[in-house]
Amino acid sequence: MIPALVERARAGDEEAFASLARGAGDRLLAIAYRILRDLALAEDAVQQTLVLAWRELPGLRDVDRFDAWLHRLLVHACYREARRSRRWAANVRVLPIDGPSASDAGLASVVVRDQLERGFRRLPAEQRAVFVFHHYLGLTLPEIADELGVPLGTVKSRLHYATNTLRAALEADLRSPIQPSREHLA
Amino acid sequence: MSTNERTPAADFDRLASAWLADGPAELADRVLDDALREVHLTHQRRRVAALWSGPFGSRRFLPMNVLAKTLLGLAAALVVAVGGITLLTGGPNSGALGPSPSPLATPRQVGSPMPPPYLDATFTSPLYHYVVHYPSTWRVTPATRMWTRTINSSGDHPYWGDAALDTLQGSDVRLIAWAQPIPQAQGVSQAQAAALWVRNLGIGSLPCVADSELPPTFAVAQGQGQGYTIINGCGFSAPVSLVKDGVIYEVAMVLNGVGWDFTFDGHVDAPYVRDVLLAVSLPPAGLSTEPSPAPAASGGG
Repeated sequence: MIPALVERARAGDEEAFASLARGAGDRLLAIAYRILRDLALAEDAVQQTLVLAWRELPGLRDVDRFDAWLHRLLVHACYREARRSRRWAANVRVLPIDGPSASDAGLASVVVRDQLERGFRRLPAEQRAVFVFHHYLGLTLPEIADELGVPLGTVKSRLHYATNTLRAALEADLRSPIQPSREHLA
Repeated sequence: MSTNERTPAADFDRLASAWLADGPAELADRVLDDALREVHLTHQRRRVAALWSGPFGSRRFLPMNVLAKTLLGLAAALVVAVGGITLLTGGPNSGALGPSPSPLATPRQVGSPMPPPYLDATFTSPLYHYVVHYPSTWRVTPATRMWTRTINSSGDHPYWGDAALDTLQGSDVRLIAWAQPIPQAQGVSQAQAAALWVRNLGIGSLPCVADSELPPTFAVAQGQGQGYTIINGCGFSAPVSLVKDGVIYEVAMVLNGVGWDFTFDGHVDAPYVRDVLLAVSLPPAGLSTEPSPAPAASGGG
């Protein structure tokens, strides 16, 4: 059904594209938020992605690769959003809106979440994307390389540095003073 | 940090996955509705129908004698009003023009290392040595000679079809590019020479502004420099433009004593122009007179 919708949308059928967009929207938002860590930016990235996907869809040669292609557009939109925004972010503890799910109780305490959040915000957008694709979407490194259109070695490198940064954040001394700091999303 | 303090890999993976599992996972209806409204107003890019064959015109603009009486004065006013072309304020070792004071300038974020997916092929100019990303469906015709006219000739630049142009072309969009050294002229600093070059490109340009206009100056070439908008989405009908109801965008940039010119025409808009120019790579060492061994145009996936 999806390939058929893609074919129709590729030919200019807006209703077919709307169906594709409704089907992909939640997933795109989830990915974008986890990369950007900001709902407004994530929503902007998703909106840009959908419009760009419509515009460029005639250039998609393999309709079976629609999802991977859409993910790649989204990641680039996230990169643009990340670079567009520079903000001051107080380096203080952030309580999550949603608590851990029942199955994850005991694994992700508030403190650990805060450490991961702060560590994640120090990562450049490219490393965040690989980290999210691996740990949230569950993709293998070759799959990530294919979806993002980058060499496997680049994916490995980005995941390696992201992991090291987050590990360091988890293992940092919690008693160190918390200072307001300027953080860049990219 | 000692080894026994490190989080075991399996625990780290579980922590990371659990942390990422939390957060919004549902797109708000208003966002989807806004996107679909914009989709309704957005044209899809056409697929390539046929390769362009044969020259459709040898002039880049409408002839100057047609424009001069009615537009030259207006174009001169454009140079002043836009404010995007100014004398250098940088040091003598800088070939780049200084930042424009125009309030319209909204520099696009620099340093984007990866082009958008639809620019899935790469061309390295054998004569001008820049790297540009373009749709793999386009045809590339590299320049076979370098542009050599002096900087002091006002409005002097190659016309479409000139052998000094790199030409990258799809069914309804075309990009031409060229460059020339900007040597220090008599009693004129490098900075002033560069400003003169950019200003000369602007003579004869039209002041029209499309809906999705380029700012007078904006960051280009992965943050290496500023682009100066010479022509901002002005419409020309065939045969001047590639297609009927096509528009033209021309952007100049100066880096390391070299002036670069990128001109788009056809069914093209400002965001597209910015996407391409943001991903351009310019040679850090200026312009060599020696061509690269062979034209390099690689298709992407």
